[in-house]
Amino acid sequence: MSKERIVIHKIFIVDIEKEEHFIDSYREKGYKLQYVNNNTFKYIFTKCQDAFIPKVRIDYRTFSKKEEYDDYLTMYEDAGWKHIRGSQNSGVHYFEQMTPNTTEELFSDKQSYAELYKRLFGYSISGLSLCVIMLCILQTQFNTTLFTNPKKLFFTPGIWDLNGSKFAYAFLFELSFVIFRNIWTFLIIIALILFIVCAIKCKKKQKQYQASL
Amino acid sequence: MNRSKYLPLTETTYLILIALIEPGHGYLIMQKVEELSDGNVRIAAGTMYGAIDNLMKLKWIKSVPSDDARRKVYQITDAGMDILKEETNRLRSMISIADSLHL
Repeated sequence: MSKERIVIHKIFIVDIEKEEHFIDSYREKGYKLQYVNNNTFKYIFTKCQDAFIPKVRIDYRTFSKKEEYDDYLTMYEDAGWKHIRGSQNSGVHYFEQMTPNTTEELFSDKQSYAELYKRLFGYSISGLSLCVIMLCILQTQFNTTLFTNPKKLFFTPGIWDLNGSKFAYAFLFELSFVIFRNIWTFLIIIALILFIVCAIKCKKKQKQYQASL
Repeated sequence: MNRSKYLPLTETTYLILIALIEPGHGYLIMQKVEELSDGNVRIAAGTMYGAIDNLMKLKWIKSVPSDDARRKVYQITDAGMDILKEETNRLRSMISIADSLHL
């Protein structure tokens, strides 16, 4: 017997179509997406006996004004898409079909997909810039020597005079303390790397769609 | 006269401009386009939203006041009308070629 409720944690890095296919794969097995949280990467599917299980589609947009956001939601709703997750500044929006008559996809031409990835590219670039600014602040305000003199981060006396396996052991052991002491810097570096990966992926996707126009 | 760099228009853009000779909101445009094309051109919500954005940036359509607080209403501008006429003339000359060959 198949499960009534499935909880999955899965991370998709800006690959909207892949995420849609993932949700579709459960729909085909008779599951409806009950809950989604793109911040915790959590998806909850429940078994659905209805003849019509709505498709879930994803859009990416931010809105500077409340009126614009209302207009956007109303237009999608008029066209048969129910908003199930997202807010004015969340960027990511999840919609589900209200009737079987609703179009299969949110976009009906390739240019729209190229523009979607262009918006996501802009988001990656602003995230990336924010990380760089924060790293600069940390570097100057808290005198993190990560970029200018990383050796100074290790407080252990004489660690750089060791060699061979003794050095490797001491280095890895001390590294955990270095990371702990500079946790914010390392977290920002991880975020920065993720944003760079996002930006490259988006640009690639955007070019792919533009080339097929 | 030099032809506008925006020509030829896509079928979707052409039909949206035609639909906006009279003011209308996003979903109304989608319905009109479907009707005008005998159901052949079905614009999805996301594509419609993006198309309005693009046409607003080109200043071919403008937002007009309306009683509906939740739906923005748009209408074609003079510049949009010029492009529409230019494209129509281009299509006409194509048709006349086809006609002269009895296609």
